[in-house]
Amino acid sequence: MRWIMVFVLISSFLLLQAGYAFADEARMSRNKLIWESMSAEEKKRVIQNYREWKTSAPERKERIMRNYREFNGLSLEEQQRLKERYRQYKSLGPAGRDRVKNRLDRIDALPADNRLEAEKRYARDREMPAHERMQHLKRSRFWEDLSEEEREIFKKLIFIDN
Amino acid sequence: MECKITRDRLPAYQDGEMAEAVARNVEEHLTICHACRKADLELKEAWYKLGTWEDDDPPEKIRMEVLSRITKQRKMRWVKIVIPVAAALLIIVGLTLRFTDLEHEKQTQMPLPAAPLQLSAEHSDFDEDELIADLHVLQDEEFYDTLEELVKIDYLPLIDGPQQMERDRKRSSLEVTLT
Amino acid sequence: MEETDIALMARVKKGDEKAFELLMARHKRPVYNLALRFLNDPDDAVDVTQEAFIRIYRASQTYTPDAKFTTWLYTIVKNLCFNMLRARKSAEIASLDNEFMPELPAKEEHPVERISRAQTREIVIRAVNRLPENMKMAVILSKFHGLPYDEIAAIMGCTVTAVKLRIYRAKTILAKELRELKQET
Repeated sequence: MRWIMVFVLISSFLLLQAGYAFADEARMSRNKLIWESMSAEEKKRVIQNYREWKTSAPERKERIMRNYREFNGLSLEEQQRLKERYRQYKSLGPAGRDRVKNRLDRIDALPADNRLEAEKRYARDREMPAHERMQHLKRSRFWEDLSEEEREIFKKLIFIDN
Repeated sequence: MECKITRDRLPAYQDGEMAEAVARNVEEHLTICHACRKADLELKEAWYKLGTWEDDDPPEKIRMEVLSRITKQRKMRWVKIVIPVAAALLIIVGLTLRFTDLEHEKQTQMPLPAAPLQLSAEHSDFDEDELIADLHVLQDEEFYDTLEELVKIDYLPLIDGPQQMERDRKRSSLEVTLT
Repeated sequence: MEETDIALMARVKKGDEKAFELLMARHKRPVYNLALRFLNDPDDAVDVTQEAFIRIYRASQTYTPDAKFTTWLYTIVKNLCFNMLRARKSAEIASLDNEFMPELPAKEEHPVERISRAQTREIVIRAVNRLPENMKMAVILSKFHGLPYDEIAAIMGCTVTAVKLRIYRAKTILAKELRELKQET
């Protein structure tokens, strides 16, 4: 009886290792496929990224890998939404992005209690249907405080499914 | 008012993408409203009319061009391999010759410190396999770097101070009493 | 028995150029027409078509069939189309710096008669071209290539809901445009 358990443990461990290796293989071959289909220009851009990546501090690499993992843990809808938001964000230009960053800094300046509240509301917010979320947004103090220009910017970033 | 709502719903209704109850509303309105029936028909007709835009024949040159560029690429790939290899060989040969010259001098002079061969840095700082291994992150590195900010944007409407929380509390208690 | 796209790609991977030519012959027409309808320029459409097939060939060495071939192909075409559009826009902006605004197309003089099929086609082309790019692409993929919403979503990199919304809105806009354009003639 005991030997069976040992056998099961060892083989499941090996299978797990194989599973990781397999996933790595799959990712490796998919990455290769993408790499091979890139144009010279796109490759140049990625190589540039690679060079910066190599010289990055380990904390930055950690952070980015963590973001990558969390991103892949999101639902497909969420992922697409964030990607679309990123596209809009990039299209804002440096001035627009600065505006956004100014507003975002306020979040970092929050005291701990408000942060906890915000986390709870975030969880609730995620479960609301889209139009209700939009109503809440429009009623919020944040929205009222925005200038016309900033509203245009945030409209692009928040109302994605348009 | 009813007409505007119905017309907004028409495409989804035609697609069958609608809750039964809502679809019934639309149907009922259509039976009594001539203008909306017309709009319904117009929508269907417009989509149907797209069919008048027929396909064009792709020009033959596409095939020739693609095939010729593919063979050119294959040749280029050869060249890209041969030339650097030839260059590397030349460098090695050249340096070997120089060092054999130095060997001669060594016997008649002070011993020189052994200098490690330094090939051009270009070839050594780019490891393609390493790059490919991390490609899934590198491709969108900027995106992942910005991700935290992008997510924070969702927090913005939620973070106002106690005033907002008070208003929310009041509002939600009001909603409870109204329903 | 016709070979599947995936089977052909497997042959291309081994270096079989004939298989690649077969693949090209099979998909050249839809790819070209997708680009042509989106960009409305035969030369640009030719460029996009060529580039798309070259990329397919380039990637054939490491191709693994984890999705439909056409989804992959059309994603490449869609990306090339959008790139081309962006390049066009920045070129336009650059050239407008020194020139006056380009004239709006003159209203055509049509004799009063029943709208012919050719005229409807003209009107349809104009109406579709007025759509914003994402709607236009979704409409073309749905109507002219008969693709289901989930495949369109995979190609366009958005949710199925977004695809439906785009197509519904596009239908409404098209109906309106067709009505207005018809009144102009």
